[in-house]
Amino acid sequence: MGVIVILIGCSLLVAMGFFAAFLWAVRQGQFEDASTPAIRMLFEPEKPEPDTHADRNLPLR
Amino acid sequence: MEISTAVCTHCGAPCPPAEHFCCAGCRAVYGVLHDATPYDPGDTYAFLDLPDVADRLLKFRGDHLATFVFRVPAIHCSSCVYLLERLSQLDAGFVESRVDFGRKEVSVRFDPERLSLRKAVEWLVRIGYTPQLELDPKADARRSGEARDRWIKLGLAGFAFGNVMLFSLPEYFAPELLDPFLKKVFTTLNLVLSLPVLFISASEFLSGAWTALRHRTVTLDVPIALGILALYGQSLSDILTGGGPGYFDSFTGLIFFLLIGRTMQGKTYEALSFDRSHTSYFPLAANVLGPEGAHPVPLGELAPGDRLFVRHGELIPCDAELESESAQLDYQFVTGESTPVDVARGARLFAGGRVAGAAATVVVRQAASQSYLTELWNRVNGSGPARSSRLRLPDALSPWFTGLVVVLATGAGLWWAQHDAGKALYVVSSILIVACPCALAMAAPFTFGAVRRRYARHGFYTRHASVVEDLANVRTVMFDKTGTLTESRTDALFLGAPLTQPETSALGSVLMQSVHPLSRRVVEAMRPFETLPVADFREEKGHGVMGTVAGNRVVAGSAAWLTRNGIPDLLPGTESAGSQVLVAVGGRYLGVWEIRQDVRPGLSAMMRKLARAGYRLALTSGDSPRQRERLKAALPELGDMRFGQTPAEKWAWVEAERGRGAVCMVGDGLNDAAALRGADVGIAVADDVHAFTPASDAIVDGAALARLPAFLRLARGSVAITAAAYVLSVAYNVVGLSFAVRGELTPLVSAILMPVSSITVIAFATGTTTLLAKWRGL
Repeated sequence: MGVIVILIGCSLLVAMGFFAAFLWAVRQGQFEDASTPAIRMLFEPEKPEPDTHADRNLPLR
Repeated sequence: MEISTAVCTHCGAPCPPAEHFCCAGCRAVYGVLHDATPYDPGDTYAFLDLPDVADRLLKFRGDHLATFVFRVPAIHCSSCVYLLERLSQLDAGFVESRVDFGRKEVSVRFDPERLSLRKAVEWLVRIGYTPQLELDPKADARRSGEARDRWIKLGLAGFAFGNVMLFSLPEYFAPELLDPFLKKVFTTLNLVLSLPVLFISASEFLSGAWTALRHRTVTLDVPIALGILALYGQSLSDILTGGGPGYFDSFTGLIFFLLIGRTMQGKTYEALSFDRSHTSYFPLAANVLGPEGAHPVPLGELAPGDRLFVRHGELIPCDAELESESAQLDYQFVTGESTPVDVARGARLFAGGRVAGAAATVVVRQAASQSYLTELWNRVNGSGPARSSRLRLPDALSPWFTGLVVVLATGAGLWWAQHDAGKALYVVSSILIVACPCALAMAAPFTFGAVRRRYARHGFYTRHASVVEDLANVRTVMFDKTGTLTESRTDALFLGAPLTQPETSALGSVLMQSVHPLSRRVVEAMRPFETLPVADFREEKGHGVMGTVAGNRVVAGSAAWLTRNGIPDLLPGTESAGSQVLVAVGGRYLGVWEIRQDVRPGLSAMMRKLARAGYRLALTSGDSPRQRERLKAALPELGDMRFGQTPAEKWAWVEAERGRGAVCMVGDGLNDAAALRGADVGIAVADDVHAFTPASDAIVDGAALARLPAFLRLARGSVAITAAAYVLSVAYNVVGLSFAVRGELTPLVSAILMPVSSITVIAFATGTTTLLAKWRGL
């Protein structure tokens, strides 16, 4: 019986992990613009610019 | 075998050695990036250097970083995104730029020490992406915050619903196998999972109901809140008394479905703007003449007595007086009348007039905030119909529905109190639970949502779902003329023997000297031609022009002007539909250019259908009545036709018609803005829906206007579908109530009934609406 409780705990943890990922995505603003990323991913990557990578992840608004 | 080593200059892909680019797209982009087209903005954007203006345009401003978000209607494909996201390659002052393709917006971060706002905007203009500069972009941030909250609430409810359902299933299907300890674990988990749903996800329904009750009204939120509280209260008491597992799965599912409905209802077309007041048409600053020349001053700071320098094509920003000797003004923006008027020194000029021809100096008479248009706008805003995104139909039914439920619950409660007092409270809460109008709340948003999707597919965009409701009630449709019924582009048509190339060059060169709109339209129609030097140019206002090109005298203008200048053998003057420019080269009459505005295709069929459907039709035009007969012949169904109407008269007429039923106003310009706002449904017509349109409830593509009868019929049909969906959901309620009054509403019955009813109502509403739309040809 104890094993069920453990499994339920695990399943809840996994579910909460997904929920946390969802919250993160919403806060990133990923739900606000659903069309541009689809276009952006088709562009050839530019040569890397290491110094701007940090703020590239910050949402603009 | 020869291996090509040449690569595209722009993207580096291999390309034929003789070419420098792999494709035309790369060539174009490279040309723009490397400034192949010289562009000199002059001081058009000098006002952006004013700190006040810059502060109100920027979203954020620090010492090393400033950001702005501008709408750029020209964004239309992936190359646009590519180019606009690489602004930092154009100028190192740009830090980063991001495009929101759906909204047609570009967000730019730049370093104000290396690049001024003015320079940044000039870069955008230079590469062909002229931004729409709008002050105070704060409202936007709030909107996106609300959208995030909605997603989080929805996600939370969905997460809890899924898990709670899993933990509830064993109880339903094999209660005898369930270990008492596990039962306790499941119940506790359900309780914990549903707590945030009650306090976060359900908050808008509870607070909405509270607000409604405080205002002594009953909206749909009230029975929903009653149901939510009954569900939660009953579940808590079940658990605390050990009576059962509670209704937590029904509860979380209910909130999840309700939030889906709300999200559906709140859907907007983000690339379109429905909020433009007349101020959006005006520039942000004007050129004030001071002791040391002209300098830009923000519009809000113009004071009476300031002398303004207004160039060709610029708007007069506030009511003023002419100081130059004479000027030509085009009031099409304000009145709809397309022929420019000549004014002399001292004339009173109104805000919104566009200077045609030579630049004019004007003296400000009234601050911009007190101009005629601003005052009209403020008056209309104060008195027009209430604008709300809330659907009215569900809220109108709510008091009856709520009343019925309360009566039923009290009656059943009293009956049970006499027969089995212990069950009375349980029956009352069962009734409130099962009567919770979840399916009812779904019916209208999903029906109208489906209608809006069909509309959008055919170029008709409504601001809110509630606009569909308003469209169903419309009795009178009023039209503006220029740009609405007629195409906004004018056609110039040459009647006579085809012009030879030298004749075209000579004529074009002379007409190019004139700024009269008729000359300009003929020039546009004749392009391309070779421009030749013109001697002895003379123009007489209202009559015509003449000049000599390569020894040939060119005369163009009215018949009287040509006769006066000795041109024989004019064709007898035909009754013209529009304006005419007669032309002669070398003393010989060649023919006539006719400039006409054509009625949009399909509109006469549209008028017939509208008239047959019983709508009252009227025309309100700011133009002169010279096209009355022609319009009457083309569109005989138009009952009342009024010409020469000022914006205030249009609005007053709409206001008067509203006494006889809901009015739909169809217009396109600034001169219609007040009438659009004052009507129950204001529809703005635009040939490019992403371009500038006045504030309105809906925007229709000019080419789709002919479908208006189908749009209106679908709106009426959708109200009937909503009513049918209500009947369906009430039927479910009756089934549920039959369990509830007998005191047999177990968590299992509730858990099945609630989602089944919601899903069938959603499927019915969406499916029937789509079928109806297809049947109606939409």
